[in-house]
Amino acid sequence: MEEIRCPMCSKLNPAENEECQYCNARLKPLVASAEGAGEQAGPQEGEDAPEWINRLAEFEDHSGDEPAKTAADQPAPAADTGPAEPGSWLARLQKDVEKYEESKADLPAVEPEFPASPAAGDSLPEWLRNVRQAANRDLVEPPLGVPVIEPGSSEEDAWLEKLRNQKFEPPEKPILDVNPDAGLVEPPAEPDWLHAFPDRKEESVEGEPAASAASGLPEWLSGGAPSTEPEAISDWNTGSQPVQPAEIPDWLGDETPSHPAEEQPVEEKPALPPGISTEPEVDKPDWLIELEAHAPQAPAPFPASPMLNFDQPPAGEVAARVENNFPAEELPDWLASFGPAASQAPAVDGTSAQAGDEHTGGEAAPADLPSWLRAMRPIETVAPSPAARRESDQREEKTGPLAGLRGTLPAEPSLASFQRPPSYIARLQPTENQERYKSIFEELIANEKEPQPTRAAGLISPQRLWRLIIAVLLLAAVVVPFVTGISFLPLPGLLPQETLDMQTAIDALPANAMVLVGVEYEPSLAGEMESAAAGVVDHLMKKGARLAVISTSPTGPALADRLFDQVTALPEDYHASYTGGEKLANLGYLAGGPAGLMDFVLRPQAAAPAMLDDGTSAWQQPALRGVNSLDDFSLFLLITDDQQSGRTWLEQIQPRTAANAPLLVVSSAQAAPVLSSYLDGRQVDGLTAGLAGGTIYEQLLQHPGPGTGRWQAFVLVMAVSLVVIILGTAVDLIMEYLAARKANAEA
Amino acid sequence: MSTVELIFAALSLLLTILILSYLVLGDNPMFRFAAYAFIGVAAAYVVLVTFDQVLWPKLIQPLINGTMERRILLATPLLLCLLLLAKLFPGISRVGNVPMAYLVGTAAAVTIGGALMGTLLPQSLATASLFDLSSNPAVESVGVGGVLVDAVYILAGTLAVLLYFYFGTKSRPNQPARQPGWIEKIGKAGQFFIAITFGALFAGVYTAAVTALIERVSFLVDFFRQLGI
Repeated sequence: MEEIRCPMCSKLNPAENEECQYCNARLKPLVASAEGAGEQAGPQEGEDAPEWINRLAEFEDHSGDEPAKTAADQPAPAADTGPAEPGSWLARLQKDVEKYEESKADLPAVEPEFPASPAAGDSLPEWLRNVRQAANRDLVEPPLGVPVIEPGSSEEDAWLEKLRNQKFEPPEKPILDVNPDAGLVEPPAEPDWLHAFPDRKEESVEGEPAASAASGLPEWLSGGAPSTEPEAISDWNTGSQPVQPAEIPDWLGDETPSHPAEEQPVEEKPALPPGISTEPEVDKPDWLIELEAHAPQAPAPFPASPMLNFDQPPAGEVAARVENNFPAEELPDWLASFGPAASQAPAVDGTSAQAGDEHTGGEAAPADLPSWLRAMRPIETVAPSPAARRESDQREEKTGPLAGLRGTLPAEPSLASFQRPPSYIARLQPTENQERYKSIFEELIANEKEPQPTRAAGLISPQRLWRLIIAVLLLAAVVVPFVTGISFLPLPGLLPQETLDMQTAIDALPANAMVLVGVEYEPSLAGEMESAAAGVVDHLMKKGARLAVISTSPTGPALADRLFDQVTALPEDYHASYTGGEKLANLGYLAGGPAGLMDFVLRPQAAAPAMLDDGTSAWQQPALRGVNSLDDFSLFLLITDDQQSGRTWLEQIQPRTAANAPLLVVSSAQAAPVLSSYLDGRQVDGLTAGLAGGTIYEQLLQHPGPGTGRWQAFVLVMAVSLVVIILGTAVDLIMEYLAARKANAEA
Repeated sequence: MSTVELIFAALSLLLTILILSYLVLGDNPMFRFAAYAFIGVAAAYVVLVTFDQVLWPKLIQPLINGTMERRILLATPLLLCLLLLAKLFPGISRVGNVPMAYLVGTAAAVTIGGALMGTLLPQSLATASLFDLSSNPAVESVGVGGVLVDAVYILAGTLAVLLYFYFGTKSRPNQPARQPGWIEKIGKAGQFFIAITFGALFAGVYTAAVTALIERVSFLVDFFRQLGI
């Protein structure tokens, strides 16, 4: 199935489609229909047209990617198709020449096949006949504004001599030599049939008469060709090869008399549709008139195609010379009308560019590419290449105080350029010492991997053995006094001053004095605290004081009950009032720690409203009767095993007690060193600590208690402990000395 | 001895032996059983005591039987208690920050005020009053010289310990920061006083432990004696 490629999206479509099925772009140009419409007026392909034109048409049909056809594929306005018709075959001619030039180097020299001269007369299109008629008329009647020069006059001679002496200087760049990167047209290559002409450039330039006789000319060229025709052809051929007059087709030869040969550069002929012609349509071909009639409206001037985009000014000298030698008066009216539009349209050749220069004050206006044509440009022409970036560095500043300067730094050159951060390879370069350390470390690791012989574990470690020995010794020291009843040491006879002060303070209590007892110790130290406090509590009971017990520890009230039970367990008469609850009130647990204690200081009845035993109102009990505030207490006794709880009591209670209400403390041995500082500061009026303090107090009262019964065990354990400590220290010193001596001996 | 007392005494004997097994066997299941039982019983006892002696008589019972004014006054602590329960749930634990902030703030205020008025100022005055020979009753017993030695000793010990805990340094250019020499020397003397204090504290701890051991052995001996063994 035959397919055609869409010029817009480059996708294949069935040949019968007129529009692309992907992008709806027109696949078959409107020109094709115009050609169909022009079949009546113009020569039909394969019939009346020359064979070489037919071949060009076939070539154009098969070259769908040609820029010219691409432009023709666009829905061009009908008004432009008229001028495009004569330009199209000339453009094909140019393409043919270009293709020939491209393949010329590879192909062997082939005798050019000249097309048969078209039949003059009916086979020519009407517009071409008009051109011929106008040319013949111009030969007889000079155009307006041109001075009439009589043949053979001096002016004619001077004009002709000027033309003859005017040597053709090939431009530095071909007229159509434009930058291919910019999508412009390559210089037209010479058609093969032009190469067949013998080189007669020199003769033409020298102005010598053509060597060919009139008989040598073909029939279509023999009609009234001026003597300057060979020169014109050679100039048009840029001096490469002169054109043999006999080889010029007759239809072209009919036109040559109207134009000097040197005034026909090939660039002029493919005058692309420059715009809308305002000339009467009588000079236009019929097919062009018909196309214009079918045109919906007159569009804007035909936009420039890539091949028409000139970035460089036209070759000025040659183009100017051609322009001067090709006056508008000699052109057909419809073609001459293109002059003003050509100045706005892209310059195709030097002539048009020169014309544009005249209208724009010497500057060729840059052509504006339509958006659809910009979209078709190759990406390379749009994307900045390194060369383009270098050129951008030399760009000219347009605005600002640096306007007109080149090479200025752009506003944000580095911000817009991103590049991958460089990667650095960190390779360690160890020194000799590092290598040595590395080897040592490797040796250590290797040694660690080797299995070490395990030492046989003994049944019992020395540490455990020593612990057992010490435990047995201590247990024996405790048990022996209880079992045997032997008194190893006498009772303590040294009475500390704080203990004496405590006794004095309690002895000074009045009868039925109200005493607040704080029990702040834990069950783990109950044995010590009971031994230390039993004598003091018994002394208070002996004095008949009313006791109110409070504790900030949850276990305190229960331990208080246990303490008083042990004290009252001794057979004494004064204990009876305490066992019945007449003089003893356990207020229980006081929540909140320091805050609860402070609350009790401020509002004792609200802080501890109930009795621990039955939950009845404590302050209505006989033990607390008449007590409304803290000032009603005559003495404060704190029993504590912890320095923190003791300090809390001292900080919260002592500053708010009455000046004459002593504060006594019974502490454990571990809290005594800290609490004794309050004793020195006169914040505590009496202190007794531990089993020793309890035993001493019992000695003062001459009333043995739990402290006295445990004193012998305590003394013996402490003695054993002292011996163990001394022996252990001595053994340790000896072992260290032996180790040091052994080390010295080895050293 | 009654049967109940005998049962409790026997149970106490068993638990005591289990605890003392640590001396011979080290950390063993019998020791751990006794330790766990003690911890559990103590915790349960604290809960019961707190409910029986705090929540019930001071919050719940007044809300039930109290007057309207009493109930209104107890609404605030009740609300704080409920908010404090939110600490048990991670999703709403932030709600419990309000009563926690109240508790911590109150405790801090009470503690700081008590420490200032009950410890710092009285202890400072006590240290200074040692040099007041006219009001020091120890002058009669130990004489003026003895009192002054005692006062100087206490003052020197106090200052030396305070300087030992002085960590301020003086920076010098191109030299490491270090304390002035005289502070370092006095601080070394402060270490001596601190060592004596720690020795006394350790002796007290050891004495308390020995006393507890004696109490337990005494209990065992008494128990077996009561059994006639």
